[in-house]
Amino acid sequence: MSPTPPKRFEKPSIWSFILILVVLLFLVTGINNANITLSRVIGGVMNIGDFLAQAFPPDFSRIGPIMSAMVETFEMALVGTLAGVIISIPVALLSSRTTNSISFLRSLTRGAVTVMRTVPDLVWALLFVIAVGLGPFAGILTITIDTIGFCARFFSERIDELDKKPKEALESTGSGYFGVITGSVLPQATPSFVGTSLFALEKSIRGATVLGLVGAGGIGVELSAQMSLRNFDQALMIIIIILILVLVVENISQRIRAKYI
Amino acid sequence: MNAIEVNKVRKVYNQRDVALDGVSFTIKEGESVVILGHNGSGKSTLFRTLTGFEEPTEGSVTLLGREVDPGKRRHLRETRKKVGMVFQAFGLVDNVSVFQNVLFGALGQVKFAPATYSLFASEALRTRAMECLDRVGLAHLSERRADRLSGGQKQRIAIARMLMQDPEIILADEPIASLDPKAGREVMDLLADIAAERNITLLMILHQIPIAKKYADRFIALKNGEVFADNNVSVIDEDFETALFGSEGPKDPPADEKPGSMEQEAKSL
Repeated sequence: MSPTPPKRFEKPSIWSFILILVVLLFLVTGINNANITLSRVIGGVMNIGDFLAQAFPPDFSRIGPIMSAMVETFEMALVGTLAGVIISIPVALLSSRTTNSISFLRSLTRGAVTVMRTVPDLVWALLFVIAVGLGPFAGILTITIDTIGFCARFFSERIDELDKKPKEALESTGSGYFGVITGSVLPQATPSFVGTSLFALEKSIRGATVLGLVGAGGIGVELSAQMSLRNFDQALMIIIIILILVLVVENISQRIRAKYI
Repeated sequence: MNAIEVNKVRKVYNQRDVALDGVSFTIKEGESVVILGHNGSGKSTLFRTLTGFEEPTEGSVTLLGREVDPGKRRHLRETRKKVGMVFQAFGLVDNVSVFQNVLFGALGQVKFAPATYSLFASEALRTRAMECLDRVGLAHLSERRADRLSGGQKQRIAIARMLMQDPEIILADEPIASLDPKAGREVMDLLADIAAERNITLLMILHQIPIAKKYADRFIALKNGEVFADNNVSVIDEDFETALFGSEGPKDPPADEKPGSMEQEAKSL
């Protein structure tokens, strides 16, 4: 008798079975609650067509104030990202095993960074609008927090995977803690830090364009206003300008990364 | 005066793995000594204990009359300032210049670490770094990035960095294990000349017996964590090698299987 091949289908454990059931339940109720009907889909396509018909040609008459809002958006992203990156360096040193041997402090900073990362930026923006009022300052604070959540995590992971030999070599010269950090950890990690920071800037620009929707400054305020006033031709112009800015920044950032890292 | 005193050092890992067992020896100022023994004999642990990277379970280590105690950080840093180390894997910071790597050798001497950055370093420090580079014959490479060097050049840069400490003891942990024979001889000649001209105590871990006999006056052989022999290198003969290493010679994995060797680094790229 030839040996029997393995079963075609492995019976799932009771927990995987329950998980599959729960996910299926959410899928069904989700589709059901969204009230998806053929007429709504067709209507939606028609409405988009309607929007496009009204939006073309885009209205460039208010290009002046829109550009200044765009510059404000870019400045918010730049200032917030820079602040976030600068704060991320000590935070990353505190949350990395290589540079911080006190596990309690490490868990504390890691926890704080996780909170900054997991709370979405629009929620932070709502919070800061309450704290410091409407306008770009709330946006800058939001982007700073968002950048720390992103950069501190990747910075500390990079520090953890650095080659430990230069660190030990500098320790053996009688150097203290800060000497080892400035002499081996920071120089080794700098290329990766620069790359991550450029990614963070790209992310911040995209983020900053929508922060205005909740009143945290930038071009989002304009977009939201023109959409509610049904000035679709002006709204389309704003969308085009956002697209251009994001593409330009991504392109420059990619060139810098390709050249130096 | 004794440069190095090792007194009944015992090192046990995880309360059962005995790496060093009652190791004692003294090395006089200006002596040139090689540590022999195959992998697992305790050589590396001994070196890490000498420099305070490991704390002995029992016994004590004294360098230049100062006890090495990893618990007393400030005292340990003061002791390390006069002890230069050379590593198998060089320990250079790859993405900065040769000159900057040499300047980092002065980290133990400055109050504020950025004072070793080429941008901020004093004229005196910059001049000294160039002198150290010149001593290893690589002043012309000062502006090159450290990762653009050959293995032999890297090790000579590491020696220049160590010279910034103006060391009284040099501890060289397999300094030529990652190098080809020619580069290895150059590095050994350089180390021996520097030690001789400045009366520096030189303690090395080496694998090739002929090299050990050429560059050291005395050897200390470790076997299973204990001192197996401590004598003049001239007594090493084939019978002794067999007794220390067994009939197959020094038992070490080929260089390309060792962590930190150039081949290993090349593979991981």
